[in-house]
Amino acid sequence: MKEKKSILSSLFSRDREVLKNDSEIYVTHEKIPASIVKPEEEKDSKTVQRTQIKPDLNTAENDEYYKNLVKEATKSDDKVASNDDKKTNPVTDDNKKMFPNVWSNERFKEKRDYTSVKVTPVIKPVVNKKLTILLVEETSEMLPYAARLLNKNVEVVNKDDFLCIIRYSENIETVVKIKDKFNEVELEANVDTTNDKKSFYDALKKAYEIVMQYSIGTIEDSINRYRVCDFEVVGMGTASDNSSKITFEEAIKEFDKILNKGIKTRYFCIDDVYMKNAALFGFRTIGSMTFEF
Amino acid sequence: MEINKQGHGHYVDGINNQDFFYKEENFKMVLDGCSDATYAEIGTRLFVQLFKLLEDRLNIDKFEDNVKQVFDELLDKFSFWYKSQEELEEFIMDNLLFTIIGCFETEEEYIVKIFGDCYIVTVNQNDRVSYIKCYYGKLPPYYAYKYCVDTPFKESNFKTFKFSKKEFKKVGIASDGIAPLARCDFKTNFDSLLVSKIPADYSMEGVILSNRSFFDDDVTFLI
Repeated sequence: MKEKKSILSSLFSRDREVLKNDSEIYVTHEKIPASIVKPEEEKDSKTVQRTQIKPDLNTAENDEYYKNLVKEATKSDDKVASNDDKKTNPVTDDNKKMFPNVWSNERFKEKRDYTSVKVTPVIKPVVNKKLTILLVEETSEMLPYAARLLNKNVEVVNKDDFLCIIRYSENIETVVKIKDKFNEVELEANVDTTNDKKSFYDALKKAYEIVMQYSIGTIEDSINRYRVCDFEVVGMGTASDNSSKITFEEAIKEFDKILNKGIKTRYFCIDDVYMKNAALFGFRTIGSMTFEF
Repeated sequence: MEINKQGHGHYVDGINNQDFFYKEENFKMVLDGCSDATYAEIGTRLFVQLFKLLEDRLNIDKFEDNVKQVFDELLDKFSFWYKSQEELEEFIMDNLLFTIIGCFETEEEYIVKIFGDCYIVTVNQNDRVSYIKCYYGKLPPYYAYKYCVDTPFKESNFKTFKFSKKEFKKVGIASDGIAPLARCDFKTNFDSLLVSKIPADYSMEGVILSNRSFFDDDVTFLI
């Protein structure tokens, strides 16, 4: 059985001389006379068609282009190739002289240094996360309880889960991160001893905005994509308001949207007097820090 | 709606249902017996039997006095059998340690009076259910401690919460045995039954029975 080879590979391979001596070679079920592979001899109509497949390498522009490639290839060969490679390397001076353009093109592709290429994954795995939203009131009333309440609730959150801290007094300040990436300073209770303004209603609206923002789509980092699949809203303070831009009715509607999504809600009051305020909004579980008769 | 079921933990340990309740028009009361008390179920049932004999039992302002009167009479009768204070205190610890939760309904508001650990369940105007947890730590106060010599709760009194009917559709009271419901330990939507207009006593009982293993303590719930 004679070896089957395409015309191009037979032309460009180093076994060309051997093939010259064969009577015929097989190319795609057609018997083609071996003579057509000889560049010196005249070619019949079939070989003309075949040779048209080859790129036009003989133009002046291509010559210059491939010369550059040859230079780069030889440089990289010198750097990368070991002695063993040089032995097996078919790039000889004779071949280069005969078909400089073709050799440079093919060899350049083969001898690329793949070790220096960084492979980046196209599809990142999706990781499910929980987002806990903490609504922290920062007023003078909260001073004795703030640190304890905040620590107690932050401890419950898994270190790999997302944590959102919404601090509110007169203004609202929001931070969303994976819990492990919070600084110690960011997790400390930061109570303003002179401020008595509470914008609790605005904070509820902000909480709903965050829920909407993170419930759609994913968050990406260099390794993973994160999908927030579970939320929890935890409030702490007095559940009362005196400086919000939105009204009580609007705040209840905003919070109702959160509850409609089936999100768990809790509220820690600083005193049992305020538990009724939290119940007005419909926080599911309500507790108090102090309970004295 | 009234639910009174023995907790799974008590069933396994062979302890009776120590909770008891009493309901009248515009008044409901839950008594939650202390699990550590040997015969707390006796105390709760005795208390209710005497309380419902009082003429002023529906008077909101006299609720504290009524409770005191019942305890006074009970201990008066039993002090005949126990000669020393120590023996009497032992009887109190075995029989009369229970939480008292009373809820009065007036035209304008619900008034809840509590003495001990319990839950207050509210339904707001948007049909949102809230579980208000009244928890006093590992040593909850019991009214009977007032009759003991060395106790920290001697001067304690009932705590009162008022819920306006304009803000809340319903207010219920429950023993702390409903904690699994408040925590949403199981997936059944209990809240939707609470806010439904159709009386759902049997379905709610069914929810508790089908998830019985979650309820370690006795469950009593009035709304």
